[in-house]
Amino acid sequence: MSPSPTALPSSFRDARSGFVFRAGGKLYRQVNQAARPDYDALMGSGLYEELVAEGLLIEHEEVELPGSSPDAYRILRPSELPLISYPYEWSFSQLKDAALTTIEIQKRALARGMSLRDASSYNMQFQDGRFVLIDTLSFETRKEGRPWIAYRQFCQHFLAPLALMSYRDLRLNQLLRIYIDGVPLDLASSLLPSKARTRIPLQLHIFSHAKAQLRGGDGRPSGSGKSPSISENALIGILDSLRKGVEGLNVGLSRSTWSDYYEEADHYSPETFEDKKKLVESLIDQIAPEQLWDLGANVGLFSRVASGKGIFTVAWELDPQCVERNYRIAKKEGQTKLLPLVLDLSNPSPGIGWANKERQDLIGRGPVDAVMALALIHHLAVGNNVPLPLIAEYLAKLGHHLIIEFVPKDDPKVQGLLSSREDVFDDYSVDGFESAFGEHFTILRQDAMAGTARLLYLMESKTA
Amino acid sequence: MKRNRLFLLAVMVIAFNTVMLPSAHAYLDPGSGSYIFQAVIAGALGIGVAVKVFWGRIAAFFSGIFSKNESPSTSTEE
Repeated sequence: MSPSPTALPSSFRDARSGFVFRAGGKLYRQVNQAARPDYDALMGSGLYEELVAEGLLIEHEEVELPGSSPDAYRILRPSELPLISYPYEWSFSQLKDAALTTIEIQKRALARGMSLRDASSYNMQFQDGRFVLIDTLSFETRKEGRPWIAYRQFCQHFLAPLALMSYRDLRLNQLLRIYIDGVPLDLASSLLPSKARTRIPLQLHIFSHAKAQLRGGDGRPSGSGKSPSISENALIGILDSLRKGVEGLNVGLSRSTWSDYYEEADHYSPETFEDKKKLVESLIDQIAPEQLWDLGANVGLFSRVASGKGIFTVAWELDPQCVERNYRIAKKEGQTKLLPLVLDLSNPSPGIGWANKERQDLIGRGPVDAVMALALIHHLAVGNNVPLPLIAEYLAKLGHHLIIEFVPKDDPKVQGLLSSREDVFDDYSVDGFESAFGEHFTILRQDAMAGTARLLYLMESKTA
Repeated sequence: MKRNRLFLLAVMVIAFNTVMLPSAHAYLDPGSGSYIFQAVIAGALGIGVAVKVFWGRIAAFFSGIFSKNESPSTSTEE
C-alpha cells in the first residue's frame, strides 16, 4: 500500500482522530496518535466488548499494515458492510430504530465514563437486520460537567425528521437529502403543527431548542461568563427525554397506491404469480449473486426469493409506505439479508455533501452482482417518458446481471398508464426493447410467462 | 404523572420566556446555542426528576398507610 493512504471522501470531518481508507480492496480505519487516549479508553473500559456483544457497534480487528504513516497509532479493519445506505433512503421505522440505537449506545457510554461526540444518522448502518454504529472513533472520555456535544446533531438528524414524518408526511425524510447535517430546527418548528408542542420532548428539543439556537452563543444564562456545567444525571435526564420523544412518534400505514399492489393484482392469476416466482428463482440460481438489488420492489415479495437464499438483497422502492411496511414485516420475520430502502429511480439518490462526494450516488455504490427489475420498465418508459436506450444504459451500470420483465403495450397495467397520456411510445415493443437492451447487454435467456404476454429476460451487462 | 407533566411544562415555559428570547441572526453558529441550551434544560429536567422522586415518596408513604389499613379487612374477606 502507499505510505500515506488517502481518506475516503466520506471521512474528512474528524481528520485529527483518524480516517477510513481502502487498500488492496479492503476497508481500514486509521486511529491517529491524537486519538490514542480515547481509543484506549473505549477498548480498555469494556465498552467496546459490551457494545459489540450487544450488536450495537461494528466489530473490528487491529491489523499491521506496512508503510503506515507516523501519525498512525492503530490500523483497524472493521467488518465490511454490503451496502452503505443513507437516512433519506430509510423509512420512518428505520430512522426511529437508528435513533433509539444511538441513545442506547450513549447511555451505555455514559455508564462507562465515555460519551459520543457525534450523533450522525450517517454513522448508523444496517448490519444483519439491525442498525450498528460504524464510527469507532466517535467515543471520547466524558469530561465532568460538559454538556453532550452531539445533542444538536441528534435533534437535527433524528428527532426533527421523525417528528415531521410522524405529524406531517412520510415523504419529509427527503429533507435529509437537502440538509446533510439534519433538518434545521427552526425549519422543523415552522413545519410542525402546533399540536406537536403538547409533547414535552418535542416542545423542548425542537421548538425551544430552535429558539435557543437563534440566540447562538449569546443565549447563555445571564451573569455566567464560564462554560455551562451539567451533571451526569442531568445528561441521563436529557437522554431519557429524547428517548421518550422518539418512542412517542409513530406512523400508521394508510392504503397508498402501491402497498396493496399484490392484494389487488388483477394482472396475475395465482398460478401466473407462482410461476413467475419459480422462474425468478431459477434465474437467481443461475447467477448465484452475493448481492442483488430489486428495483421497484414494492413490499418485497420477489426480494424475499433472493434473501431467502442468503443473498443480501436491497428492496428499493419509490413508495415510502411500501418500504415502511416491508421493513416492519422484515423485522418480524427476523430477516438479516433483506434491506428495504426508499428510491425514486427517475431521480435516484445523488452524490451529496462536500464536492458532491461525501455521500455516494446510487451508481457509485454499485455495480452489484445482480439487478432485478420486475414490472418496472413500463413505469420508466411510459410513465416517466424515459427512452428505452437510456434505461438500458443506466441499468447496465448498476449490476453485472439483469433480470428484467418486459411488460408489453397491451398489458392492462400499460393500458392504464396510456389511458391518461398520448401514446407517443412507438419503440415500446419487444423488438424495440431487445434492440435497446442489446446495445448494453448480452441477452442470455428469454422466458415467456404462462398466462400473460409478459416476458422475463436474463442479461449480462457489457459495461458494469 | 399528569401533575408532573404540567409542572414540568410550566417550568419550561417560564424558563424559555425569561432566558430564551428569539432574535434571528442567519450567520450564528447554532451549535453554541445548543450547547448553552442543554445547561438550561438540564436544570429543568433535574427539577422534573426531583419532583418525580418526591411524588413517588409521597405516594409510597400514603400507599403504605392505606395498605396497612386495608390489610386486616382483606384478610377478613379471605
